[in-house]
Amino acid sequence: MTHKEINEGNYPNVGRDTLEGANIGRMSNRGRFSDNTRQIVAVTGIGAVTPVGATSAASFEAMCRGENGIRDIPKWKDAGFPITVGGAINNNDLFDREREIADAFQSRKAVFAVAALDEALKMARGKTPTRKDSDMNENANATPDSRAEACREGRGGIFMGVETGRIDIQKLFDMFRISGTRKGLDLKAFGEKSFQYLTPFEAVSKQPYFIPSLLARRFGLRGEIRAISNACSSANQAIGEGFRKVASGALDWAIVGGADDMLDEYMAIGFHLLGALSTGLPADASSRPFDAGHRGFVLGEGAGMLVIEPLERALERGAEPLALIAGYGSGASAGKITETSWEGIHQTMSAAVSEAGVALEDIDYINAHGTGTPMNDPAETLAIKHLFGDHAANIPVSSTKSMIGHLIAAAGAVEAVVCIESIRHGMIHPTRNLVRKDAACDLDYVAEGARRKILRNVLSNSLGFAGINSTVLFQRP
Amino acid sequence: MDDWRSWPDFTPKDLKFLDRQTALLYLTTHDLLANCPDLDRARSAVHAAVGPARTDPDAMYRWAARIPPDSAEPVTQAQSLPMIQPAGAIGLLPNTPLSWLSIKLGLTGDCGVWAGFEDAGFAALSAARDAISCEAASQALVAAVSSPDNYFVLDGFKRGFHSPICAPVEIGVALHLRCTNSASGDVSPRINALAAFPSGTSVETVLDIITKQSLCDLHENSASQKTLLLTPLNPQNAIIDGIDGRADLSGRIGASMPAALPLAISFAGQCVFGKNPVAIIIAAPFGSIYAAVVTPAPLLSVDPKSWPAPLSMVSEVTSANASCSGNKQ
Repeated sequence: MTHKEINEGNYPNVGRDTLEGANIGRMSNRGRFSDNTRQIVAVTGIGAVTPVGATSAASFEAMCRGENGIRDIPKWKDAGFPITVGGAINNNDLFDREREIADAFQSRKAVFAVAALDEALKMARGKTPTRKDSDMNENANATPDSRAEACREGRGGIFMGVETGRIDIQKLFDMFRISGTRKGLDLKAFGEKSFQYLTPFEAVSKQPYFIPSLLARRFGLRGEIRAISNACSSANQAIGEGFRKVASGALDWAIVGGADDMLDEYMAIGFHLLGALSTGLPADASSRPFDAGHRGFVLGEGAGMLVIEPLERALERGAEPLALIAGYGSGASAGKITETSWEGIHQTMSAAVSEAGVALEDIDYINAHGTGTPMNDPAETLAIKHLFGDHAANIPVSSTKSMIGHLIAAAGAVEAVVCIESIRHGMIHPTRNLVRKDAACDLDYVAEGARRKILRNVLSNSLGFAGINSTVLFQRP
Repeated sequence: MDDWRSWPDFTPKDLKFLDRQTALLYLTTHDLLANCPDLDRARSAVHAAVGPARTDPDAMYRWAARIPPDSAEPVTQAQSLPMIQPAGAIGLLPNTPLSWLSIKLGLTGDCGVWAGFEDAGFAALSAARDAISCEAASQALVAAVSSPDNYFVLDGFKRGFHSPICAPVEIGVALHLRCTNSASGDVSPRINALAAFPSGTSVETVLDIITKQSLCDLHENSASQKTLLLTPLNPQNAIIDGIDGRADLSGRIGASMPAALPLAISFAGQCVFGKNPVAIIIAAPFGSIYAAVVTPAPLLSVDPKSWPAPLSMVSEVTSANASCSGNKQ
């Protein structure tokens, strides 16, 4: 499929009907585990808010069309800020709908997380009548509590990749300025005057734990609440840890994912001074994973949420298993604090494949971390080549970040949603702006447009800043 | 701890990226590893519990000092913006403490950084146990620190909870966990139960469930048991009422936040609270309740073969290190 076809509105509807006709056996293995108590873990709900769409379906369709979600940020551009672009979400409806949260907590990622989970929970509702179905309509009068029916019974938990939030830099600036002296900070003044700038819940809402806690309250969910903060690897690891809990039988359901809003001046200037961000290119050409002209990554914002549960439970509820999670690997790769090593992601991909108990030749697609930095792209390429050997050339690879930027703690979550949609629709989205491959990047990157392919096993990589890596293996049900 | 900026392990360039929390995590893990020479650092999981990341206060002080008090320029045009060094921003990513453990100590296995308050310590322990249980790692380290030396953390407490809290304490603890067979005669201390409960769960229910998990009689009428409570919102949580033989660790040493549960397990394993099974119950600020049961070493040495069959996973505390540098409030 070409860009032209997609741009003309020929987005293919390669749904389950197409896949059912394929000669593929049902994957229901328990990986390397002989223990029959180990559960097969199904994904029954997905939701996403990204710079190219307010839902998972809208986002994936836009990605398959190769749409760009990276835009100029007028405030930065007008002020002469060194960074001028980002994967920003300009969806006023979203913020209007969640105005209370946006205002009270001054947290964009809280808004994204609520919207993404709302979608995921709606999708995860089973067809089996439940006690609350009588007062629920599909599209009207459904309260957040009633949408969470899939996660009402049994033991559950919320596992989220979330970074610490930042107080608005202008506010922070004012706080320090009012208490600053030529000799340093006047601590008495800082304690007495500066904190008056913050709303009552503003400081606490910046803590990572706050977001999953907010979701639990908003949707009436009771269970374990976990916030994992592993930078770019956060959401992938949250998915992996939730997967382990459900697979072991410790939990009956889990909500896993991540949310982030990295488009603030403080983080932007920090990454910029490290030389990690793409600069000097037009917004729509600034994120160029695997391209010879890659200059760095572009910060973005958004959220992705998944509802996972044992396959058996999902089928009993009448919920559709959208995909299975079959393997997870995480690891730290000792090196330097600002380096990425190929050995680290090699280790986690290997662990995920091993846990799933599939052959390397059974991996049909890799959704790469693919940041667009000259350090990441060759390292990830090398890891894939080392692990898969000759088969590496046969595996399509694409980078979601080419269209929406790097969502940091939410990156793995949105890319998980992309992997699941790819499996469901038999479609791999293209890597935008990949015109001429970097000399060290010589895999089969999908660049020409969305590609049809029946996908049995898909890897989603996340390479965290400072060498914290993770891989999740998604499988066709 | 006070001389951490002169440690030989770190170059001056490294130190730009280190904050006090990271240094404390490194110190406790480094000391623990010295007692575990045979630990396979590539095959062992390491899960860290840390507090919320924070702006490097030193960098912010320098930044503030450069801002003319009467300046009204927009922040995005401020001449002082370069004072926000990359290290300051990177310091807001809480994974960097774990990265240093990997870089300097060669720990490359399954890993995770759990950020929060008391919940983080439970999450790290639970994840480490899962890593062993699902064979992703042969052994595991749990490193947890509380380093509340930050105005934003303290203000978050004050404004978010509107209640008096125990004074936060700076402390680090590291545990070494490995799977063991209860019938092996191994006399190491054990974590026999680990569970989380929603807010509002009664103490009787908590004790019922962890009794079943641990196969220890932990109820009030059992004269031999000890219940260790950590209640950062002391004294408003009713969970501490009506339990005999309790020791309120928060009241004794202060709120050790992410390090609370690992610290209590460490103390229990070292028989600080006696030689009988110790039930640990923590009421966390956001409402969840975390519980664990630790069987100190000497109990098993009495008659290990009479000990019940293991649960799906029994962890062992083989070593611990706690560093306490006093109340920073």
